[in-house]
Amino acid sequence: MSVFDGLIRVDEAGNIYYNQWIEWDHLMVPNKPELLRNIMRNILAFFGHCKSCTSLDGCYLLDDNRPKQPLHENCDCEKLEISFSQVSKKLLPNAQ
Amino acid sequence: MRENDIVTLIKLKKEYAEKNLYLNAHGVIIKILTDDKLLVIFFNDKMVGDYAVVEVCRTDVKKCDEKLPLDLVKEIKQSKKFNLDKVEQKKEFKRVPFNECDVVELLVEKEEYAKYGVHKGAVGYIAIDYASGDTVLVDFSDIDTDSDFYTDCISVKIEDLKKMK
Repeated sequence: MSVFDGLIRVDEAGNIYYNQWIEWDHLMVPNKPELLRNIMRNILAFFGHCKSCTSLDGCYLLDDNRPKQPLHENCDCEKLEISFSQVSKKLLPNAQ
Repeated sequence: MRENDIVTLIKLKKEYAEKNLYLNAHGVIIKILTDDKLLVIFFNDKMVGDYAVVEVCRTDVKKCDEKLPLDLVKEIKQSKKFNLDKVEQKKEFKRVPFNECDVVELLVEKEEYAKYGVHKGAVGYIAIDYASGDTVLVDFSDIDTDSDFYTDCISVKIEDLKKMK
């Protein structure tokens, strides 16, 4: 695995693009602890919030390869720009 | 324990099991009934969005360290949707009729499945051990006539599936 994997991509013409990573964020759904996250997802489902949206909360996605926002009317999701170093810490927690 | 505290069920009495509750089910206290009794809204981990309002003894639950955000508590109190009379009608969890890796057959022909190449009679596997509302994730991976492997994991309504033996 190259150190550049996930950081850049190269198209067929040889042009280099920097990958922009985002974190999918839904209102009031915490990433941790897992217990509170599950309870909040259930409470928000009870109030009619979209289960697909709350399940995406906390996911790291490439900005040009993610579901389009808003997913539906009154969607409470937004994207948070994050650095690749945050992503790699999650992917490779033991790497230096 | 107080209203809006998060609790876990630590004793599975017969009366709770009859409502499809399970050990370590999590819930929120919505009313203190007496010194001994609490009214708790439990949330079904096996079916996101499902809940049951159950009267429990204080000694049958344990308070968790996690707390609901204050702004959510305010919203719950102000919400017209959170009508205690309406909420109390639902007293048991729904049961998901499938387990992870169960083999299932699609019983209907619908556009929402056909657009993924999945048609009536397709056979797949339950891909995950919980439902989201009334749908489950089913893996319909197969090999087509050109011997190419294709994979399609899609959400399917529980009522549109039948478990195969």
